[in-house]
Amino acid sequence: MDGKWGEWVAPDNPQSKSEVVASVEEIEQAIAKLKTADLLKLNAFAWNRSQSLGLRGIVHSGEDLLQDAVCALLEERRHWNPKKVDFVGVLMGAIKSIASNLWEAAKAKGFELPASQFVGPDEDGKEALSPVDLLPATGLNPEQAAIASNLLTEIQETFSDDPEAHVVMDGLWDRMSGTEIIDALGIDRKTYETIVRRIRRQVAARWPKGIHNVR
Amino acid sequence: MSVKKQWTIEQAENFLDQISDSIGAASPGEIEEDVLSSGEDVEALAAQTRAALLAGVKKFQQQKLHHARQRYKESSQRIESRERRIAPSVEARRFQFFDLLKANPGIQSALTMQHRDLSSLTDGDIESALEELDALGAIEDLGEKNNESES
Repeated sequence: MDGKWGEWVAPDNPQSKSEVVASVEEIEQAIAKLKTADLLKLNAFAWNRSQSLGLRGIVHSGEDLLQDAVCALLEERRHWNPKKVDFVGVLMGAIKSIASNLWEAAKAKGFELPASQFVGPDEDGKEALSPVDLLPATGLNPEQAAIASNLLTEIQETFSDDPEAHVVMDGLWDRMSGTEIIDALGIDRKTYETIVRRIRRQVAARWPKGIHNVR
Repeated sequence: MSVKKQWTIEQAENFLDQISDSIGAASPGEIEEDVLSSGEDVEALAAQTRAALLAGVKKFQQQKLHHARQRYKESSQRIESRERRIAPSVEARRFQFFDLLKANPGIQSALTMQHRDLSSLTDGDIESALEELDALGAIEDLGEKNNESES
């Protein structure tokens, strides 16, 4: 991460605990005031983080992450001063932190799934399969991994007429950071961000379903 | 002919991380354009997101209520399971009550105003005062103090 986040609250630097903590009413008002575009940005971010967790076999939907982020603010695990900080930014910080904690916890304890993901007995009393039974112990199974890989290959192929985007995807394939790609290509950050924006749009168009839903 | 690249989980993760940085840096309007260009129903997606956020508020309130109920249940069980330490007869209760006050004058402040006029206390007043003190654990404390002074 390179720190260029606009109104984003850096998750590794939460506000001071002496900051005012938002009340239920303030949070409800802030949710009510969110515009369509704000909600879409939150959705895109939560969805992205849930897909990243999905790559590791952790089933936690974007909606779960959004719900958890609000809960974390109210439980005072995250602090928010409504007068100083943008609500979208603080929620994204909470989502990123929650996703990171889920991944760390999964690495430390083995994989755990949220209660909402467990399926109870059906009307006939037969025990339904829980996602635990359906998921591999760690990461994606070979079929899911191949689907994810093909999806990214397809996205890259859409840039056959866009050499800039194609070469940035090569950099991402080489696991380079944004700054490393900028340095390697000798481009400025604005140009890089414009290229990544084109890639982001292809992702939005071609990756509508979660990888972890592919079975 | 170019060979199709295979993406490992780590490479795919790096890809999604860079995209998440891009989402974070983008204006909400840009993201709205992304969604529109993907052909998704913008309003439905926004409504779904708002509902998920509000579900977080509800989840918090339910958790809070659940914890309050749990604390009440535990506290009720603790009081119910406490051994009744009030003396069985009227005379013994009166003796026990004044013994308590003598051992700990500060206990008077824990009693209600009507019990403070000690000369006019009825047998019923004493019994209810002892019950209150028992619930507060004062009778138990007195027993412990007596045991300490005896030893």
